[in-house]
Amino acid sequence: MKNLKLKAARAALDWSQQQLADAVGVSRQTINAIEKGDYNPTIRLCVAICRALGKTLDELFWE
Amino acid sequence: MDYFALGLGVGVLAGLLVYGARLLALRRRAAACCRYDERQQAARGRAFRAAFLTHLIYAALVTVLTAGGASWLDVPEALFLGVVIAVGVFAQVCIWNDAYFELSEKPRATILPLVLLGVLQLLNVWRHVAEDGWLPGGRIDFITLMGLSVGALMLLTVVTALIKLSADRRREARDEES
Repeated sequence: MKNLKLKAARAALDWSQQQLADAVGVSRQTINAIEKGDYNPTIRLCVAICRALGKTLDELFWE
Repeated sequence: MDYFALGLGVGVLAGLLVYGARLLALRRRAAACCRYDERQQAARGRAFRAAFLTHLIYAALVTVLTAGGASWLDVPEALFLGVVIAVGVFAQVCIWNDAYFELSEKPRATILPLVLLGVLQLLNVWRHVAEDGWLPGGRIDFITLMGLSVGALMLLTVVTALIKLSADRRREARDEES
């Protein structure tokens, strides 16, 4: 299932997938896979993404 | 003058120089280089499993064929071919899961060395076959087998990389539209 909340939060900051990937230390393809719902990230990566985007886990990853 | 020894020496020296230069370049980018993120590590694990299984099946097949009296290759050459096939499976699965190299970021730097290596291997086979023929002694010898298998592996990897690159670009264009 696509993670549209993550995509929206990233777009709200006007960040590219590459910028978010650099901020959390993963590849751009990994951010792309998370947004598309092709990859289920570990809690560690979820927290890193939330910190980078200034959101909570609930806001980005809770359905 | 022993040209084989001379060629071997020059080849080893050239290899060491290239390796040294690569090592220096890697040290400069040590912080970011050669690290795979969690998704890539998982994908590489799946690729390793596929390669390992491929090698097991291939080794079993070679054992059965050898026991049955097949004489298309000597066993060491047949096992070398199995390693090349397994590496090939690993590379293709990794490329298809974005877990091998920065294909979409640096396509030329990624693909050109593979093309060069593949063509060099095939040229080496061509030179060798022109001198000794395809089947000296009724079997494929190691130089021909190595050149053909590694050359084919490199070119297959290039084809996979190009298909993946093209698929990614189409997908990104579709995503931007939606």
